[in-house]
Amino acid sequence: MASAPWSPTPRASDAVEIICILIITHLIMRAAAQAGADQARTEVRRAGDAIRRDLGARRSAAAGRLRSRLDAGRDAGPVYPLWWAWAALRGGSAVRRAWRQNRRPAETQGGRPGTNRSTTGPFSRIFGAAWRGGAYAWADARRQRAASTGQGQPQGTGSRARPGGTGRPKAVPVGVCERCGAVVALAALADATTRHGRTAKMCAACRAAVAGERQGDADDARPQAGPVDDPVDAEVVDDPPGATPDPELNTWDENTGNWSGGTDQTGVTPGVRCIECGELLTGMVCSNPECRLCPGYRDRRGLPVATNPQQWALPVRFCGCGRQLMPGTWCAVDATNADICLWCAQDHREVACRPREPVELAAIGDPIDADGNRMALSPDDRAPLATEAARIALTAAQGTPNDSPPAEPAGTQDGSAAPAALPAPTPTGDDEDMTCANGEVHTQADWADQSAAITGQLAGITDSAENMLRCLTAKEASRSQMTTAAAWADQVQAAMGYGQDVIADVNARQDPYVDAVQGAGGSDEVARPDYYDEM
Amino acid sequence: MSIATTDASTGETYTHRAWLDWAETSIERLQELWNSLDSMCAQIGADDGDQAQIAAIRAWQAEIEAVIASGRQMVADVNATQVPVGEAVAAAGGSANTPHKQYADEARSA
Repeated sequence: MASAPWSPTPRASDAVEIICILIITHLIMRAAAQAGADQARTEVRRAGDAIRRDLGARRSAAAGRLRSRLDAGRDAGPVYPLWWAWAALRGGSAVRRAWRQNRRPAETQGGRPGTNRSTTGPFSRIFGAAWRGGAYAWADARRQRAASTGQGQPQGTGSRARPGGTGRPKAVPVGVCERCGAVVALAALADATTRHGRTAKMCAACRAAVAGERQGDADDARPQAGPVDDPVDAEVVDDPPGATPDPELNTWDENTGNWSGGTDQTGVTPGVRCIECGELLTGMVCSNPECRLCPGYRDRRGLPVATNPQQWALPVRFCGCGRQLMPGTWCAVDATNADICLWCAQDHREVACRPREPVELAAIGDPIDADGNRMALSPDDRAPLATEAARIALTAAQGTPNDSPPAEPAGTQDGSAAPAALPAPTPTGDDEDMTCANGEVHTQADWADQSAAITGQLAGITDSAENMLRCLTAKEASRSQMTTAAAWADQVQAAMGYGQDVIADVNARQDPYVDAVQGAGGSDEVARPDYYDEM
Repeated sequence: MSIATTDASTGETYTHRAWLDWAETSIERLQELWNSLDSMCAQIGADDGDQAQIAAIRAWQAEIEAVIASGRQMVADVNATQVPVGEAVAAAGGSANTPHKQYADEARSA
C-alpha cells in the first residue's frame, strides 16, 4: 500500500479528512447514545412494571402504600423514604442470590454484544443496543463513503490507498428535483411540464410520471369514439349574473385542499348547504332569513333567536375530520353528540343532524353581552346548564334513529350496552384494583388513568420495535422483512398518536363539565376530588 | 417477570424464533388493549356516559384492530418467505435458532 510522502506543511486534504473523521465519530457516538437511551427507556418502563407486580404480590402495608402511590402517579422514587428501604431490601436480596448462584451459561459465553443469548441483563441490553446503533452508523458512513467514491465495496483506508492512486475523483454536480425533492445528478435533471402546465426541473422518474399523467388527462379529455347524439335539443342560454352556482359542479381538490369548480364571486360557499333548510351557505353561514340557523333569523316577536353561536365565546373545537369549527357551523350528530362541521354533515344527511341548543352552548362556552364582553358564569350557574345540556343530548339521542352498528353500544341507554361478542375482561388476579385491562371506567379520573396506561403500553411496543429493528439490522436480515416490520411499527406508533388525540379530545370535552360539577360540590361518583386537587 | 431476563418486551430478536415471539406478543398485547377499550365502551354505555366518548373509543378500537390485522399479515408474509428456508436448514441439520442472516442468504440463493 503506497502512502503519501510526509510533508511538514499541512495539506488541505488532511484537514478535510480530519473534519470528516470528526463528523463520522460524532454521528456514531450520537447514534449509539440515542439507541442506548431508547433501550434504557424501555428497560425503565419494564422495570417499573416488574416493581409494580412485585409490590402487588406482597401483602405488607409498606408495599401496598408504595404500589398505591405508583398507581396514582405520585412520587415513589428516591425522594420518598420508603423507596430507600424497599431498594435496600431488594438490593440485599439480589446480592445474596447472586452470591449463592452459579453463573448462567449466557454469562460464561463471553464475546461482544450481539451474540445469540437467550438471557441477558438490562445493562447488557442497553449496551448492546448502543453498540448496534453505533455499528449501524459506522456501516452507513462507510456505505455512503463508498457510494460517493464510486466504488462497489467500501474501502477503509482512505482515498490515498485507492487502487490506481489517482486521488479523489471529481465531484459530480448534483441538483434537486423540483417535484419529488430527490437529490440527483445535475445531468439527470431536465425541464418538464407538469399536468397543470407549470415547467420545472425534474428527475427522470418524475418526468416519466408527469408524462403518464398528461397522457391520462389527454385520454380523458378525448371524445369517445363514434357519434353521440345530443340527448337534449335545447338552446343554450347563459346564466344570468349572480346566479347561484350548481353545487354538483363543485368538487373537492385533494391536491390543493380546497373546493374547486364553483364560483365564489357571489360569496356562496360552494358545495355546502345548510343542514336545516338546504340553502347554500354564504361564508359558511346560512343566508336564509327564514332558517333558524341564519344569523338574521327573527322570531315572531322580531327578536333575534339565541341560536346564533356567535353570541357565545366558545372554546376552539374541531370536527372529527380535523377541521376547526367556525361560528355558525356548530351541530351535533345524533347518538354520538359529537361536534361535526357542516362539510361532514353533508355526508350524514341520512342522519338527523341537529344544531346545538343555546343551553348546550352555554354549558361549554361563555355568553357575550351586547358590547361583546365575555360574561363569566359561576360554577353554580354552570352546573344546571351542564345538567340540562346532558338531558337535551340524551333526549335527542333517544328520539332519533340510531345509525350505529348493532354491536356498538352507542345510542343504547340500557344496561345491556355491551355488544354480544364482547370478550370477557382479562383477569388480572387482583379483583380489588382497576387496571387498564379490566376497563372499569366509572369516573373521568378512571378514564384518564386507564387511557394513559394504554398509551404507555403502546409506547412500550414502539420502543421494543426500535430495538427489534436494530437487531434485524445487526443480523443482516432480509430487506423485505425489515421493511414490513418497520412499516408495522410505524402503524403502531400512528395508532398511539391517534389514541392520544382521542384522549385529548375527550378530556377537552369532559373536563369543563367535571370542573363545573366539582365547582358546584359534586359527588365522588362524578370524579375523585383528590384527582383534581393534584391537577 | 424479572428484569434480568430477555423476553419479547425487550425487543431482542437475534433469531427468527425470537422475532416471531416478539411479533406474537406484541399482537397479543394489542388484542388485550382492544379488549380493554371494548370493556371501557361497555362500562361507559352502562353508566349512561358520554356517547361521543364511546364513539371516539370505537374509532380508536378500529385503528388498533387495523394494526392487529396488519400485524398478523406481516407475520404471515415473513413466514411465507422464511419458514421454507428454515425448514430446509433444519432438514440439513441446521440449528433450530437460525440467525436472520442465514435465512436471508438462503432466500437470496434460492
